Amino acid sequence: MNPNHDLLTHINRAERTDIWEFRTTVTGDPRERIEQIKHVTGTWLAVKDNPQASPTLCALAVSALLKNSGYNPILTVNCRDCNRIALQSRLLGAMSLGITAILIESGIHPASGDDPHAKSVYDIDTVQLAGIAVGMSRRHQLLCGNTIDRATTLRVGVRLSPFKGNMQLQESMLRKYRDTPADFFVLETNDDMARFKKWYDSVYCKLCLSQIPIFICNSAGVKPEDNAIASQKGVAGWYYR
Amino acid sequence: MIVATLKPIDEILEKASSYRRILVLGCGTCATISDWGGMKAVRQISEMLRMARSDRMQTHDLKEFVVQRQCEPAFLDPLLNEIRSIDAILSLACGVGVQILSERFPDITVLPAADTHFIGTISNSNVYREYCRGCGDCDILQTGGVCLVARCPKASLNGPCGGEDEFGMCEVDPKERCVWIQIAERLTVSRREGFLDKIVTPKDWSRSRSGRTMRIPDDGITDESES
Ligand code: SF4
Ligand code: SF4
Repeated sequence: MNPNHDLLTHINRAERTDIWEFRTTVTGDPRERIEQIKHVTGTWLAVKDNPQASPTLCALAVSALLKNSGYNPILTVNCRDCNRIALQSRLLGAMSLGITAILIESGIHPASGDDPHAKSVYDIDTVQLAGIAVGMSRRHQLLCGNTIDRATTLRVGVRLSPFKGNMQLQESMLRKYRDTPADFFVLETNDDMARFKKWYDSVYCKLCLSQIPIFICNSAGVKPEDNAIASQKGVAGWYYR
Repeated sequence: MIVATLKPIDEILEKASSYRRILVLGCGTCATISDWGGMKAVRQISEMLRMARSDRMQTHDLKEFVVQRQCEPAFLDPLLNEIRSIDAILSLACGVGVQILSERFPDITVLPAADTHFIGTISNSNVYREYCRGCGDCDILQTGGVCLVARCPKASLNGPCGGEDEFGMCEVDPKERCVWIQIAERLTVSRREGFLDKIVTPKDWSRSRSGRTMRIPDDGITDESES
């Protein structure tokens, strides 16, 4: 893989690596949108996959267009819209188009989205999808056992909300992603520095996860320089919404 | 039990309006537990049909009956007398009951009076919860007897989806606690927290696809011929 196009190599080489969320729209021609971000250089672009549970331009198509325009896309893949066959097909498509990183999400449920009459799929969950993606990329194997001819490397990221709900459950999810193993995490922190630090020391390091880079989601109005979280050990950079 | 609810009365009256001779048929099992399938409900619906017809100056010929289970053909024998000279049966039962009636009496229109929702149970104060989706591959031991297929809207088999709020309420229905919190509590109480760390591999859905027919061999032991 070209090191310029490998997220982990980028993280290791750069002082800081940032991800910008790229929201596709309902358009047949996203060139204008791509033109709008031409000032964004040296970052990675996470292309959302039907955000708000309503259809937008296919994330894989946009990722390919971004790639061809010289950007480094991260293809977001949700578990809501496709079954395991379609998801693996999408990952094969990503490999064939030179996309090297994916970000896995469960996806907002249709009940909360713009098309509440849609049927959700949820054939597999995020841990399972991460495992399948890793199997495809590293062992060149599909879930059904078929071998992939010329698999390429995919860096597999997942979203974490470690401060929500039950801590024991959040820890167990982290363990599962560690064992998958995921390549990077995008973390919702609510900009709570004290809590993040405590979590980082007591949970993240305890689970030997400090080698797995974290991207911190920034919330509206918080600039990176205002927030000391981004300078923490293990933090690769920011994830801008 | 099968959880179903009665359709809006206007919809029932509208559906029934094209038929003069109607058998209003209750079901004595799940629908009766839900309080709308027994004789009391049959009489109430009949009364509403009568009133609606009288308002429209329509003649009517209504019969009332309750069978123990509409979903079992053997329980339909008592109807053989009742359905003579009937145009339609208004079925106060789940979708299975409606279909079995239609199979048994193909020359009579069967009008569903209910919407069937799920296999579940009634909690207090008229709250019904889905508990099982009939996936054909029951594996709720490791989740403390809580079914994620039926009770988590995202069927998130390995842990919470991340959409739960600060207080552990579900992203999809904020009035319900995330089912994973309930699982963690159950496993903690029974000292089986170890299950929480076990990676659950993708589920075999082959036994839960639509249109299944299960053939039990004569020895009654296996259902491998399910299709
Ligand atoms: S695992 Fe399947 S069979 Fe068991 S309760 Fe859930 S849906 Fe029903
Ligand atoms: S919040 Fe919990 S119960 Fe609700 S969809 Fe997510 S994992 Fe399932």
